[in-house]
Amino acid sequence: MRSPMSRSQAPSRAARAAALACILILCAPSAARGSAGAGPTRPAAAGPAALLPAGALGYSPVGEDRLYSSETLFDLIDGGAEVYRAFNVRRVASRRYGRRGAPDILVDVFDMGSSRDAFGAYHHDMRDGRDPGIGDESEIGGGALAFRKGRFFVSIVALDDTGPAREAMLALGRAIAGRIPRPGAAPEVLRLLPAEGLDPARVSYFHDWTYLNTRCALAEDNLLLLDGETEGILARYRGTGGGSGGAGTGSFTLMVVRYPSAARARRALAGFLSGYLPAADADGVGRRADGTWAAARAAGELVVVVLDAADRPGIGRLVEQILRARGR
Amino acid sequence: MRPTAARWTRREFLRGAASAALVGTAGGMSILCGAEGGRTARVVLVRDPDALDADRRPRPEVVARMLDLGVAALLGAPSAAAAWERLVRPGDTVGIKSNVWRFLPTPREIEDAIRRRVLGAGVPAERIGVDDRGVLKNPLFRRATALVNVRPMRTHHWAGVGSCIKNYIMFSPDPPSWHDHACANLGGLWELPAVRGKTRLNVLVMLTPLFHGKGPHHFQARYTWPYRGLIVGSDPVAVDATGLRILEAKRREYFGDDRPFAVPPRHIRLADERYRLGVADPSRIEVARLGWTEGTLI
Repeated sequence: MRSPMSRSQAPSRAARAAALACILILCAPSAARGSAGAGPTRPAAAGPAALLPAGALGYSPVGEDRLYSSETLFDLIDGGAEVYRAFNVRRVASRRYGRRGAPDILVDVFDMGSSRDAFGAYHHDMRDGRDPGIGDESEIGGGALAFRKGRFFVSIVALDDTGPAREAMLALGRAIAGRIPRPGAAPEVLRLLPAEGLDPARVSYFHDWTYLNTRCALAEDNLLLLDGETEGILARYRGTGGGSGGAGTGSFTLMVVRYPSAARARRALAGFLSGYLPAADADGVGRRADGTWAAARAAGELVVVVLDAADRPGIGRLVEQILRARGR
Repeated sequence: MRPTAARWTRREFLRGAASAALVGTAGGMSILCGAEGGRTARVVLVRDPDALDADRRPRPEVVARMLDLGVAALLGAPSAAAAWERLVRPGDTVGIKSNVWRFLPTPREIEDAIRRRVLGAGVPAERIGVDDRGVLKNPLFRRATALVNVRPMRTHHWAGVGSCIKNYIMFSPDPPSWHDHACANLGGLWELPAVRGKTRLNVLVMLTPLFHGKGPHHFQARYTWPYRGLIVGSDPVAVDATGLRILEAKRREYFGDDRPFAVPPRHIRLADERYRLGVADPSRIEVARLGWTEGTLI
């Protein structure tokens, strides 16, 4: 059995945290990376199929390309389609590449409609592997390359993890990235997250309750009144030992949801407290039956929620930090 | 290379078969009553170091023997043939509900082994069928009186894990309708008319399980390993809960920490608590182990 990628090949946690901190502070479209590639640059207006290169490093297309809509994506990836439908996937182009004596490579280009939803699709999986510097964000490891650029999320999978297949995946990835003219920004709401203690590999973006429940099972009822007009960030924080950014001293989960209006945020808060934290005090802080602490508060169009805290969370301080970040 | 004989002795075989008596059946499943009256269940984990060849293909004669030993031990029967005669009758129409997921399908060798045993129990060949995605349109499955549920264990995008409980989703005319809340209500599949009360055996294939997945295809070979096992049981919840424990242990071993699944596999616990489909609590599941013990993980 092939041995797993050495951990020394992966960037350090500090390096990844620094990278995410840059996103939080700047929240600007990341500079185009890995844009050099085979083939002319074409606008992406024609859709995901136009991004598929003719080949790379001896690999050429095998069989017919497949195009999928949001409704037919189940034909490609079964129940996995729900992940990308939760992020408003528009179309997917799928092509298989082959080379004699080498494992085939599957390439799937997802048109997510927006860079924030491409972010959500990319970060559905925990991203703690090596970054080869393709697109806005990228990860390679174990025979798979994934990246996002602009409104596109791209998956490239080799059916076996060999050196030549890896090189071909990188070449294909760079070629595809080169055909996407503009980089994309991470969701605006991401920059509201306090940096201290944040685990950058465990940040999830979401729109609706069904998807949120796959990340963090709260209740079957849509307590936070989430729908296609809302967006949220769910992030895990490590214990900070009482540092300035933490909700207490232990680890916890932070959720920030943006609503179309302050009124809707207030209604969502009321529903959440009633359904999830009925014993909350006037500050919106309460202890759950399992002994963990939770808290929720509204601030303008935002609802801030702390979950799974080992001690009484300093949600007031967290809200202040988030509002300061919003005001920048 | 000629495979070696199974590592178990006749004494181990008989001990496995006799270690727990089945005190009754309920709805086609065997549920044991513990000393305190709480529900308990029993599953059999069978492993053989020769189950796979150098290319990780199942060795037909070895996996067939594993299946035989597991089923006989589960039912406390003196032989596999006798065990299968208790599971199915000559008058049955038997659907073998398999799984065709292209990256880790049910091995043909396991399907064939099951089919041979069902034939051996007296069911005519024309009343035995194997299917997955076509079960609702398959005439044999539409009139099936007995089901054998068999599939490999793996992680899953949306359910956390894909195992025996989830394997019946293709009996629903609208599979995506079961995806809400991270597939929390999959236990309800077992109440569908096409399924209810028909399952005679669950086989969770643990030959090369997938313990982690990323990306739209959710498959990378690096996240499989040659566990070389089968879990058999009448209780699909207990079978799945046991397979889940093994995956969790493998993830701890591989990642060095309790890395959570991308989606928590809540449906197994909820199949117990909400649907009373079986027993999910590991403390109430007896795992009878047969054969190879190295790397068992639980």
